[in-house]
Amino acid sequence: MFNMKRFGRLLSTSLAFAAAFALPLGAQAQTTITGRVTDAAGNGVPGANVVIPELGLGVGANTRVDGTFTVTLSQQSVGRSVVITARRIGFAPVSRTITVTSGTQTQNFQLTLDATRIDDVVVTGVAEATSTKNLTISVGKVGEAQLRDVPAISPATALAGKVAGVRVSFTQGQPGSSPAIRVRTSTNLTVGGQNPLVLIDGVISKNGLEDINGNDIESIEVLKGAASANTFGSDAASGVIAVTTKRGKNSPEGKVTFLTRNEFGTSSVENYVPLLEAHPFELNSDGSFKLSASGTRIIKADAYIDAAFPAGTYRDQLRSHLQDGRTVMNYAQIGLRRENTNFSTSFSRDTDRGILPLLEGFRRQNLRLNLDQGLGDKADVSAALTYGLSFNDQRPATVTSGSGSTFFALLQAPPDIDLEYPNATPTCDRANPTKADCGTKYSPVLPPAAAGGTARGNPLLDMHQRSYNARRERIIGAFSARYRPFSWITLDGSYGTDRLNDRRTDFLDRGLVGNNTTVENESPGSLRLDQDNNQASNTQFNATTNFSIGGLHSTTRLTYLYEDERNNTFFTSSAKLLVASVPDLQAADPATLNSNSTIENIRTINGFVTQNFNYDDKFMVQLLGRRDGSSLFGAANRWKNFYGVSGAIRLGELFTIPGFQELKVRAARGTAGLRPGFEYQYETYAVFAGTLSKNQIGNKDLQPAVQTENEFGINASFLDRFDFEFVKSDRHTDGAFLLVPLSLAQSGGFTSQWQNAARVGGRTFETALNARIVERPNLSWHATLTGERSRQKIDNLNRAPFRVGSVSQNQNIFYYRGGEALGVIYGQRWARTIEEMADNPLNAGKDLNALYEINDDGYVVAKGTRGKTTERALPYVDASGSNYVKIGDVNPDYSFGLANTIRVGGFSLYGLLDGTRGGDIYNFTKQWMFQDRRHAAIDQTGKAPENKKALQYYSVGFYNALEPNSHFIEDGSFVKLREMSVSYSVSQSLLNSMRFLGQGKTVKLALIGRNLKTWTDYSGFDPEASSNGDFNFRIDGFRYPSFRQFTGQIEIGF
Amino acid sequence: MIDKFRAGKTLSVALFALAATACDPDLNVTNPNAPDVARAIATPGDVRQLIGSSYNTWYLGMQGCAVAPCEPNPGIATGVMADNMTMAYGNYGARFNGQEPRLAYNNSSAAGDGLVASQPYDVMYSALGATNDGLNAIKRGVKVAVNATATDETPQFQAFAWMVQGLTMGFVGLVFDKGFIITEDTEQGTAALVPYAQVSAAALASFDKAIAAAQGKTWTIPGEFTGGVALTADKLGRVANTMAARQLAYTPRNSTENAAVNWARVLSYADKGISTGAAPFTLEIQGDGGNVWYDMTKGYTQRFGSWVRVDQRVIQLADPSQPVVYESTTPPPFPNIPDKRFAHGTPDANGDILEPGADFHFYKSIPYDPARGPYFFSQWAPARYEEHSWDAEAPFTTKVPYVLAAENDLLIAEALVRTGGDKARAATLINKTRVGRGGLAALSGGASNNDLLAAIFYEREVELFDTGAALAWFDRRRIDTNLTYNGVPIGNTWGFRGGSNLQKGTPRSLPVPAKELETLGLPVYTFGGNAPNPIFPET
Repeated sequence: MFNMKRFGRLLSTSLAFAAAFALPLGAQAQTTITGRVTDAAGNGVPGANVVIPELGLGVGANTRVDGTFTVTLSQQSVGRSVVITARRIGFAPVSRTITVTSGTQTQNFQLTLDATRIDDVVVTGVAEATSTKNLTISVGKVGEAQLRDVPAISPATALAGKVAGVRVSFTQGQPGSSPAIRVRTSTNLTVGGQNPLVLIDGVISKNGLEDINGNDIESIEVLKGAASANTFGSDAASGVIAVTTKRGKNSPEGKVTFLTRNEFGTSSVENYVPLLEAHPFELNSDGSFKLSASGTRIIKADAYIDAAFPAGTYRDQLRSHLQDGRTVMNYAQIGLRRENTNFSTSFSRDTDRGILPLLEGFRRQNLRLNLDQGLGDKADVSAALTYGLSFNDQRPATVTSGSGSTFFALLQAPPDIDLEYPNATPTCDRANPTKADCGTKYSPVLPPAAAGGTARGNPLLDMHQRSYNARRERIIGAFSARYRPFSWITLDGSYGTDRLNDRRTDFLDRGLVGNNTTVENESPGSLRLDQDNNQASNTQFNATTNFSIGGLHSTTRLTYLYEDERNNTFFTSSAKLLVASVPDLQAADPATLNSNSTIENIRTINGFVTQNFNYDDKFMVQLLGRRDGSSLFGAANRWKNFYGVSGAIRLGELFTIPGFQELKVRAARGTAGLRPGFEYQYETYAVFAGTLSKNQIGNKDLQPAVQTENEFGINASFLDRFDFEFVKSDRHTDGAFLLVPLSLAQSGGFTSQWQNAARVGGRTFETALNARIVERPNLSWHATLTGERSRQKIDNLNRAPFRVGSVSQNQNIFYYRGGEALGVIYGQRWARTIEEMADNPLNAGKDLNALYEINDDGYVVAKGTRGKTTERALPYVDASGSNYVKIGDVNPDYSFGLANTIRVGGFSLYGLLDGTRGGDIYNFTKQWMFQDRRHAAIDQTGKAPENKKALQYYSVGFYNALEPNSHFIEDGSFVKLREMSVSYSVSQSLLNSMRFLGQGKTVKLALIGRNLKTWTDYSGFDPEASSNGDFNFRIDGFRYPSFRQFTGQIEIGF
Repeated sequence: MIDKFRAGKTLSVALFALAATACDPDLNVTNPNAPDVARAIATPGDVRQLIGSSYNTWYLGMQGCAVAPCEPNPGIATGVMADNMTMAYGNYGARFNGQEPRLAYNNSSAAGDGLVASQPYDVMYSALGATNDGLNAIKRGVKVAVNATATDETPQFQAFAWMVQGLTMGFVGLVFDKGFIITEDTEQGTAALVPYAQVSAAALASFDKAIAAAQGKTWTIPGEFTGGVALTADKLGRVANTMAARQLAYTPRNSTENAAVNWARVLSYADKGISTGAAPFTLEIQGDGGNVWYDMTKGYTQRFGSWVRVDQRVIQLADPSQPVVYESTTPPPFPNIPDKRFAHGTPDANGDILEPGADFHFYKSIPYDPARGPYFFSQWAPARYEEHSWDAEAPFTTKVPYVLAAENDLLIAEALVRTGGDKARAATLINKTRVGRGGLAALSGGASNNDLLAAIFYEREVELFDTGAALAWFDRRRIDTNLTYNGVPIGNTWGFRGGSNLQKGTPRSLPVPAKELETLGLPVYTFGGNAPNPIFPET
């Protein structure tokens, strides 16, 4: 429950803090602008924001209940030509240019409903806040209007399906994890190296997005590549995501606003991996399994998996143990706007248990504090603070993919074992279990006969007995100040810092059950303490000048930016404790203590100049030059230059085009880079526990990888209800990093070196269409469709082709080769025609029809083997004798998002569909389950006798010692109902009749679904599978599946 | 009341000050996590550490874990190739390389089973590179010592470095069909791949240098560099002699090459080896809990019966009435094994016989999937070093051998028999463990060469089980094909399947790893294969 007392204390502290800043400033002679903001029907719009940004932060007002407002200006403003803007969430903003006159002048606004239209002003990647109409580059934006129906779990999830060209990949589904993001195409060949640069309230952030609460987000802007992100220089080739948290500027003048949102619901699995319900063993006449003298079950002579388990013995281990988890979110926000002070603070608590039993899951608390304080009309200061504290008891080994993980053992758990008491005797009373009758609870030693030669352990044991806690604390703070000594120049400076303190404790008490899967033993105990401290800061200074000559408006911005990053890691572990129940290293056997630490210092200096020209809102040009120096670049190449050129022509302003309100063409070209990893340049020995060894040779000549991108775009608004955008991007990254293996003999013992060894190219087409299909006072229907098609390729590779993988057992299914698309899967392809067997040189001159036949699966098998234990699909071998061929491609043909919002009176219905068409997934889980005989696909029950296959056809043939092969390539197409909500805002008249609420209050009730429904042919848990945080690695290997959430929400504001 | 103008001015001054302080950072950041190469090879203490550590790298390269992923390569894969160990699990190349009929070694840069070759290959050359760096520093006049003012330890570390040179090149010569010969005198990048015989010869030359440098000296290599066992000059010389004797004896890839070995030279080395003199010793390490000194191969082979088992072929040697391989999932009758190293006694409640002190335990159940082939089956598991394994109470903390003194004794015995030397001495050496540990009937000098050699190979199989990585494979490929042991064709076990000492299609060398071949721009090749639908031609 939300702690009211605690919040009250917090509130009073916060307000005192705000009040200290809101000092009275000297009164001057004043002039005022008054007016009324109305909707299309002429009704007053309360709470709308009327601002004149160029006159200072505090200059503006909020509308009253009847829609009227009064903006008070200083006498100095008289005579100036300024832009005054009225905006309100849910409406398209309207701006007017007026000349300030002395006394009172009137300016009315009529706003039109707009739930989906991209907010009009962009601040990232431009010299100053710029209307999207005047943008020369493409900036994706998700505004509050798109976030409020279904509050995002995290900023990354908020992007899914909403911005064309942005793929959000849910590598792991466990609560608290952050998905991987790929913008347009890959820029690099290092695994997991596609994540964009993240800015949180202007703070360059290197510690991920998972500590930010989605409720706190006001907007997210996305720069997709070098053509737009060149202002971020050597760190921005993978794009930039700028998150802005909510500030007090939207609160009504002089009033404290209060908003609470409480959401309660459950998480659950939608699609289960199909499990095998049959077996291949001989049974005794009493229905029990026949056992050999060594205690193993005996496989039937035909080895067909078509026998039913004895009645009552089969268990679906997934459905039995994956549970519906509870999710709770409490959020409270307070905003204040008074004269020159904007203040906003929020507090939230999230709990997400996920779908695993016996764990608490993920718990997070967030505190946000944002303050803007004007100092007269020439200066202002702002501060932003985000604090996140989370706890997580899901061990990495519990949730990561691969062998040893919970999902590995759970998916492969024998179906006729009670995992709670695997060795229970028939007399076991589960209500009052005794060790003698029931054995050890969650014993890792499963009955060998049932386990059948696979000792995967008990997936529940660790979750039951191990104490694991990850405590993650994050502080992101920004302080900035602006000073406008004259109307033509603004000086501003900022300091931002991002600090992460991550502590993990992993304790297994001495005397608990050990992990031996053959004989139950007592664990000697173990303890591991980990700590990561990352501290990044960026200091920036800008000077921005403006001048106008006739219709030409020029903005020049000079920037100096210094970035400093210090990362420290430390761990100590012991594999044996001498004292029980003391999770303290002092209890450890000193002989088993092991420790490690790393320190990284990274410094970067950047200077850049941005020049914008705008001629009469018709022609726009932006130019950028930037020079970056970084300690990450090799000593021989410490500095690198970047540039950007972009321009736009608003044809709609030049000509009147019937039906078109806006038609803009634009083009941009720019460069942006990727910085090398910390250790890439250093020529060092590896040191471990005092021993030295040769490892990677440093590269003093290493440069940042540089992406050059050309972008062409069209924006159109037509028929008063459609906004359309089309963007084509062509890009290539030169000098992409690769860890190039060396011949140790030739290098004197060094294994590898990081080199600028590849050129990676990509092409993307993006479209976005917003439609205001119906727009009436009490009924509106808005829709947004985004689409993307991307192609990516390794243009060249300065090394031998190589294979890359990212799950356990070193399954390197991806093949990197110059000239080959990026994301292709290579492996054995099972032949499907007898003719193609002729390519194998070993078959030269042989009568193929005498050797081979096609079985009912369509695979070539050796003639005469059908139905026998020797039946195997045979691999295609090419003329060179190689059986290693292309078997799949992870790249979708296209992906899309479709959002619809329908509002009828106080009711609102919102849904977001997100999907991809095409693109393969490698189902590694299924391959391994073929070996363990757990996957339903190998069930022979009900097959015609002549089509039955022996288990070896699967468990030896397709399992193929886990070598990649075409049988496990699956189509990854899917459509997902990503977000959905049905909400009702209680009408003002109804509220007025309620004693507790009444005038000026808002109450909204909503039912919310996330990942509610997936349509796909993919046979695993979820087609959104990839590994190592990289969309390119669509390989599904025993990962924690992403799950659906269904919640109810109550929002109260006053 | 705040003066707005002053506030603005103060603010702008503060901004400029902030910018100015951040304006002059040093972009030359050193890496505090690892020593810089140039500095390390110029600093007495670091050179000492560098040479000293290369022995550890070599050790972990063979016994399982010097580079990630930490896997016991190539010990288990070669163990199953030799039908000395068996395991049906896919890990560490056990299942793939143990399949019957044999498949070609999967020489793939896609890792997985490719690690069986690439991991030891990489680690050997990494250790060799480090030791050569140390030797080059000595050549340049860098003194080797704890620090610049400490006692000069250059002579002993130079001798130690030559021994590591021999050990690393030696292992390459034993395992791979080709390798590079690199010493401190080799100009970087000039070496070429040469056949294993030449690599072995180069290793012997390095051992000779180490032996000569240790001759008559009184220094000591501290135990921190040698797994807790300090090496005096005398001991280092004897280790180098034993390793040289092994190198000569184990290089042959078949019985013909074995017959051509200079066995007199083997005898000469082994006679100065670890089992001779006043204080015979075992080349071993004291485990430190998995930190720096540990044996990952034993970590997996000795997991209380749950992983690797003793191949049924070895059980047949111990009891000739046993089959050489399981033909079905039904186990053969309980064997009658006279050798005391196999567990005896009454089965416990689970039907297992876990006799304390026995080297091999009997388990009623077999953990392998019958669908993978009953030929993987065995009810016997190695137990002699199980306290070192993952499942022990304190894993990797016990002392474990790499070369037992008995191995040197058996090399002397074999060389004596093969050179027509003192067969009575050979019999005495064999009986040390044959009778002393196995309780088997003593052999005499009057025994036939067949009986002596067969008994030597039996002892090598049983007594030396799971000591040094790949030992059984080195033996099985070279064993005389006509040897019989108690009527069992120990040298031609697989005659009934068309094989001989090794199963048909089993590689006798590992190929140069695909990863290295690709880097060098050479075609990838492999060895072995006897599958019904071969992908590679049979060899």
